[in-house]
Amino acid sequence: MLSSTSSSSARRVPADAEGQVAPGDGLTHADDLEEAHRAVPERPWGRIVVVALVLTIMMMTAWEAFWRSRGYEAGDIKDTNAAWAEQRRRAEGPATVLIGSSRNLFDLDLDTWERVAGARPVQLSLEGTSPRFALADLAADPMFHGLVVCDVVPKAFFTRFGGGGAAALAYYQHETVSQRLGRLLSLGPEQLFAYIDAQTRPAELWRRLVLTLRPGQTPPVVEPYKVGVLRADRNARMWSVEADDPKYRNRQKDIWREMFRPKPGFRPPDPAKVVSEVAANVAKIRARGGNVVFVYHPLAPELAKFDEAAFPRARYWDVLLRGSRTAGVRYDEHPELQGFREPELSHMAPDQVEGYTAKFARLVIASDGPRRRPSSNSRQ
Amino acid sequence: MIFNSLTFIVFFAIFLGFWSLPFGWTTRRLVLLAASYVFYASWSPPFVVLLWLSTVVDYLAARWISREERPGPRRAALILSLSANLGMLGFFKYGAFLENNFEALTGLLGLTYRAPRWNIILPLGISFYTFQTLSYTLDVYQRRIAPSRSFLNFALFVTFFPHLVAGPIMRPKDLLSQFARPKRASPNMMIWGLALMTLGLFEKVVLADAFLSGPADEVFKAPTALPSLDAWTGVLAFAGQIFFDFSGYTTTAIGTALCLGFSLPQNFNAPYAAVGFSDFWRRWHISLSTWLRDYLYISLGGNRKGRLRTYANLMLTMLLGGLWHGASWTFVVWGGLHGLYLAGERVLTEAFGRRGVFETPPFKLAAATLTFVLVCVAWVFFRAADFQTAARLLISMAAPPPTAKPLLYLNDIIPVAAIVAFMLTAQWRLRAIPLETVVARTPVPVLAVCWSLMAFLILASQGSENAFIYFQF
Repeated sequence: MLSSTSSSSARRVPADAEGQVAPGDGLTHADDLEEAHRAVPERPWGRIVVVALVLTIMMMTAWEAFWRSRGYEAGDIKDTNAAWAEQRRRAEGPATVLIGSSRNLFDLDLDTWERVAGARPVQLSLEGTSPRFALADLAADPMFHGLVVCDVVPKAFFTRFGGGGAAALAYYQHETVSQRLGRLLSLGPEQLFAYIDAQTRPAELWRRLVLTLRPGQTPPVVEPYKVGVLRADRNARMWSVEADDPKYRNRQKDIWREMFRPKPGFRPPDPAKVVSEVAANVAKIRARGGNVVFVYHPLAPELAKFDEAAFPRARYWDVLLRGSRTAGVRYDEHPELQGFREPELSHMAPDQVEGYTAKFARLVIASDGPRRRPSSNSRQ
Repeated sequence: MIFNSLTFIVFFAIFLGFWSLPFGWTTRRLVLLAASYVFYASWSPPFVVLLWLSTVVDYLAARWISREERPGPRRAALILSLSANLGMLGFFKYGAFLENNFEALTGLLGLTYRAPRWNIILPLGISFYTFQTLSYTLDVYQRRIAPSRSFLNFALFVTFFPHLVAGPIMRPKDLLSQFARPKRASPNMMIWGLALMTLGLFEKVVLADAFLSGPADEVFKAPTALPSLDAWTGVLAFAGQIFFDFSGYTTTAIGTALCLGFSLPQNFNAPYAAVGFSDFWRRWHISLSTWLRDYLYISLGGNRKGRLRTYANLMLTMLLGGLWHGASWTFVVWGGLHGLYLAGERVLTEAFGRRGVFETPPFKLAAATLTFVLVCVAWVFFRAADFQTAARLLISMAAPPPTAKPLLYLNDIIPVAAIVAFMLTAQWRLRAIPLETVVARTPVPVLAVCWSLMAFLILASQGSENAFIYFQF
């Protein structure tokens, strides 16, 4: 249909003077065959292209203005597999690497961490994702001998290996030259336009419309809305609309409650297999002189209750630390990590993250302790 | 790089800038060749070597064939070309498939054989460019043409970036001679080329990726039987997705080539408005179907060796056509189904001949509807990951169990229904009229508004990281 063309307009083009037939056999040389020419519809194309361009610019201007009025901001970079892969390439040598779910992503400020620790950490946390895939990947990387700060959100950590992380890792492992270049080029428009965001795509807007359910159909699981804003190196924090707009915030709260409340008939998983897998990966990193610290970030008491009900600390967190012989930093064990504000129950307010990160980073560095650094010839 | 990426837009803008400079034709061709290799190498640089190998082998083989009059050496040169091209294709595309089947066969015989796992990566577009270079050597061997005098022209014929990775599968008559004379697009060609690129990207980014791929994926990965509505919605979504994806690629390729002053032939011509299956294959992936007809079906004897051989040739051609799409038995079954459809149509045509009623609009509409439904049934095997999934879907489409629970929400069903209805209506109206004619008759303001709406929706959809489906073939 749409790609139909007119081949009937082919015409014979005179061959060049070099001779249009092959010697002897009377065949036409491949270079001298008649050429097909596509027809171009007779239209005032100059006028059409100008009007189309003006209309497109007008529509895009209105679209951009609309999303800016809804709180979207230029320079908020989309969190794509390419963005993750770019940071993963930085996770080598003695780097400090943050892996985990959305709290590790939005509650920690990389600038502050760098000021406290002297080196900028690499942010590899992914929203709604178990970090075990990233731990396994770092453990298998002989070039890495740094510190892994692994966020434990029990529901993600003990029930899944990676979820969406598998796609990010596969992308990193098979990323083409063209894709790497595409990532660099995309930063330009993303610094300029606020509308570039996964949540503003027309198909996504349509998908989130609440329509009547079909008979016998259960309501869809509502995915969380946009939580944070991201810079080019994945330094992220909560989006101002999430923090300040009560309607948006309340809708998100309902989603977290629904997500973390133990469902009827929920059967807690056996942590033994997960702990054994994690302990093996921790041991690999330690063998190269690196280390792992598990962390549990602040959350509102009602969500903390859900965590404790579904994944009791004694059966999961404590077993994880003992099984992997690893230090842990929990917000509820340190008075200096108390009192920070989580406006939508699960993540820290944007004006809180710098203060929190400074205190948190010091505790992590202290719990990391002195480590054996690999000698230069032990690195591969 | 893929057409729906910022990398390609920047690459193309830079190249277009160079192309408009007043350099000599040889310089421009050399830079076009280099740009085409850069385009291909941006996926995986080492695989450019395969492209060179295919180019050099077929260029030399064709020259050897044309110089020789003795059948033996001519045949030897042809065998060299066939072995090199089909050998590469076989190793990279079908190596693992053959190994797995050999393992399964030995298992059936009670033996245990474990083939080494090679983790072979399929070079992009290998099915397309090997068929293209083969068509050149075969044309020379069959004395349809004399070989090209210019290695540069031949290398461009193989490598020209707009069609390199997913066709159309060009024949020497379609493209090679276009490199013999200087090309530069007129302003109107350039603008029409840009309009076609916009249309192609709209098909791919907005229709195929944003609205159709989701429901199709949901349905094809469902682990249980579904109500008919869900199953049919998923299959119709895939029918639309694969059309808009592949047609979108081809339309963008045609537009890209036109901006440079080259003409690529059509690869789709309202296929879902086909009345019957021979009509369908004259309209769907035209460059592949004509390739299979000219180099495989006719070489096997076509319809010249009796009825039985005709049917056998038809089936073999379609089975191999299915296998061309992918190293999996589900693709073979897809091809086999189309072979059966074509054979059935042939039987009916022989039995009833040509009658006046067959030309009436109601009959044509009914026949087109039946054709589309059967094409959709075949798509189930094309898209399903395995036969269990295909069987589950076919059962769901025909006679779903009463316990089947709805999967898709109205948010999924409504866009699929709207887009598929638009697609079928548009194709029915365009089945005998080229797009260019429709555009020539459309009022200027409507054209400008349509173009800007498509551009707006592409930009608002923000592209995607999804490659074109046919890249994997």
